Amino acid sequence: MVALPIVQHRGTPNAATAFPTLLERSIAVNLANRQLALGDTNGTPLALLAVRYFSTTSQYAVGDFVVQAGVLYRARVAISPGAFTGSQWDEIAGGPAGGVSQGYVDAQDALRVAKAGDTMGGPLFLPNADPTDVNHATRKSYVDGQVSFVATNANNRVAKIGDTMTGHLTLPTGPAAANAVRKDYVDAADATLQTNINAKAATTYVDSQDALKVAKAGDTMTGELVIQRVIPALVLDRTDTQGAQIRGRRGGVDRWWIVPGMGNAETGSNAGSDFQIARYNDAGAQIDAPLNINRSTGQIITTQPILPTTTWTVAQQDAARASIFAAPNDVMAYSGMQVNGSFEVAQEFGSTVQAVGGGNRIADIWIGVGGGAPWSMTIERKAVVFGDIPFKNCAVMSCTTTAAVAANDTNQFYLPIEGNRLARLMWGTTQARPITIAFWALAITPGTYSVAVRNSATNRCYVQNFTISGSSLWEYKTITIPGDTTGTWLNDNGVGMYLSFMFTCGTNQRTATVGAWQAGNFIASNTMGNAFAANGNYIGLANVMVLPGSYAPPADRQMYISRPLDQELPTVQRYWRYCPYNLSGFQGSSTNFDAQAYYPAMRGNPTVTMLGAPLASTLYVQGGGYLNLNGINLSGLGVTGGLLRFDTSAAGAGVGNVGFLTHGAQDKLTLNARL
Amino acid sequence: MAEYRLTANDGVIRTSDGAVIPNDPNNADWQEYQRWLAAGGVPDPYKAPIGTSQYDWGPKLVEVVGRY
Repeated sequence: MVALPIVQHRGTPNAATAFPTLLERSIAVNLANRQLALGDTNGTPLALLAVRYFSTTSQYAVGDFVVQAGVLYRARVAISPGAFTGSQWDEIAGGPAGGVSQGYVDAQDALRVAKAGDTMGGPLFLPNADPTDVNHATRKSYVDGQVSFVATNANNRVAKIGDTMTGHLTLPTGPAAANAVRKDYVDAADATLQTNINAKAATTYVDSQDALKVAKAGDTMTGELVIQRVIPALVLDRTDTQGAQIRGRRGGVDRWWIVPGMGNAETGSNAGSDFQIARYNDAGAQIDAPLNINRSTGQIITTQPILPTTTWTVAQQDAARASIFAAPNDVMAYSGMQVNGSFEVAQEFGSTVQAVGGGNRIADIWIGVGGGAPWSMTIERKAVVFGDIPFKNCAVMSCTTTAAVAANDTNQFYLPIEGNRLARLMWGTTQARPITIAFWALAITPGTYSVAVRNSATNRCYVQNFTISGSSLWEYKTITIPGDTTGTWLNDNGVGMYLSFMFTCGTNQRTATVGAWQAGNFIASNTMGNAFAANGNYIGLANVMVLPGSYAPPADRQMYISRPLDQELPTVQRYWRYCPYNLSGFQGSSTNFDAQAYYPAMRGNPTVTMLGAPLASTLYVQGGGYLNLNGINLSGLGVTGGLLRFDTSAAGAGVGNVGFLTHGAQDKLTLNARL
Repeated sequence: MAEYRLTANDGVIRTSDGAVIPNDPNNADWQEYQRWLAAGGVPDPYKAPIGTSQYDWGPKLVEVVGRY
């Protein structure tokens, strides 16, 4: 059985009231909206009218269709009840425009320029004619033409900020104070001024007086500046870190600067702004600063020793030196590291002339070396006879026969100095200290000669030249040698130093290095001359001194700086001496006499020699009488003494008895511990 | 005869002048003697004296007593 439909009809007059849930297939009406709805199987209301007549009582959703005055419209927006407003609707069909929608119209509208004001996306082309009315739009070409015209006119005008005119500016007459003026105005004023200046003829006087004065900005005076007042002062007031200066010039070129306040920084505690005196060379370049005074400490630093002038009298010099240090001469004398530098001690040969060679010596320890044959050279300790120097003795080397200088030839005096005497110099270490060699030299042939210092291994050397200016005149020379910080320098009883005075030298031991330490066995410079180029030539040495330090005594003082004979003699006897007069012993056998000897310490165990053996009747033995000494056959001598065994003549009844050597024998016994 | 002759101790006698040279490396004559030996020199042997000493030297008495 089929259920019959239920038909209901419901209605509402309110446009804002939505259709309610309906019974299936029942109809509802909204009169205000002129709309019908039908309930579906679920009662959901379904609108039935797609196009309605426009009513002022209706409300419309976007897209709703209405017919108004015969024209079909679709709502553009949600519309509330009210009068028909065209802007809310899109015309669909039937309108007077033939069916053009408002959206189309608006889109086209957007392509046009709004009268109220708008922005164009492309250029606006105008007719090619100049505007004639003030309200006309104008073309760019018209504006450019006007701008060009204005610019041309502007460029022909003078700029306020400054400009250069190419023509004359003509001004009116009668300018006020702030006005530009005409040339004729200036000319008139200038003429008036010149008239006034000319009227004051006294200005030339002022100018001439002015020229006599020193300009504040700097000037050159042609006369002395004298400041005469109670407390005269010359003030140099520095305003920055540059030093204050008083300059001494010659011909406009600096010679001396006095700097009472150097530019060194002031860092407190009175540091900085030190005092200095600087000297300049002939070209005006600074050489050095011989005098400096530290402002903070007051210390005076000089680059050279402060020496008296040569015009001082001896008394003045004594006074000056006495004010510096007390009794220096004896101190320096006993510091002298040379031995027998005054040649006063000559135990062995006295003043006998010796041929050079074979290690022959004079003054006991000085060795003379001469060239080999055909050279014929002699050496001697000699009383000073050449010239006038206050010394008793000197060393002389003479040439009997000269020869061409061969590569190995030398004519020299040299002195080996014991290492113990030089130990204080600390040579061969970083503490090495200088020495100063002072001596008098003489030669017939003036020229350049050399002094050399070498170590015991003769693999370190220092060569320096000295010059003999006159012929056969004593000349005083000093040479300061820095300490050698390298090499091996003995500081025991071996050879500490060989000190050589060179007067001839072959090529083998010459060097180009002068005044500097070097490795090798060089003893003369390449520039050294030959003092023995002719037969009869001689050279002399006197008062040789080797002092520790760099001070060289002046010539007039050096004579005082030598040890006296009574001090020099035991110094020399450390190396060579006669046997002391105290030998006594006993007859050990028929051919032996054993004696004891004691003496001050020598450098090492000495070689003992009996001169002129056999010595007749020089040994006295109790019960045996005087016997002969035939020689020495055994020595037990040490550095301070020991035993000697002599060969004797037959002792006879003296065997086993004591005895002694007579002075005649002991004068013939020499002890040699020379270097 | 050689230039040197041995002695009863370790010294030598230089025959040219009869000098008795001690065995001391720092003695210049000993150094010369060493150079002579190195050059091939051969010293004469020790020549004992005819008599006999009643004094006993002993080895210590001939030693170097010190250096200065």
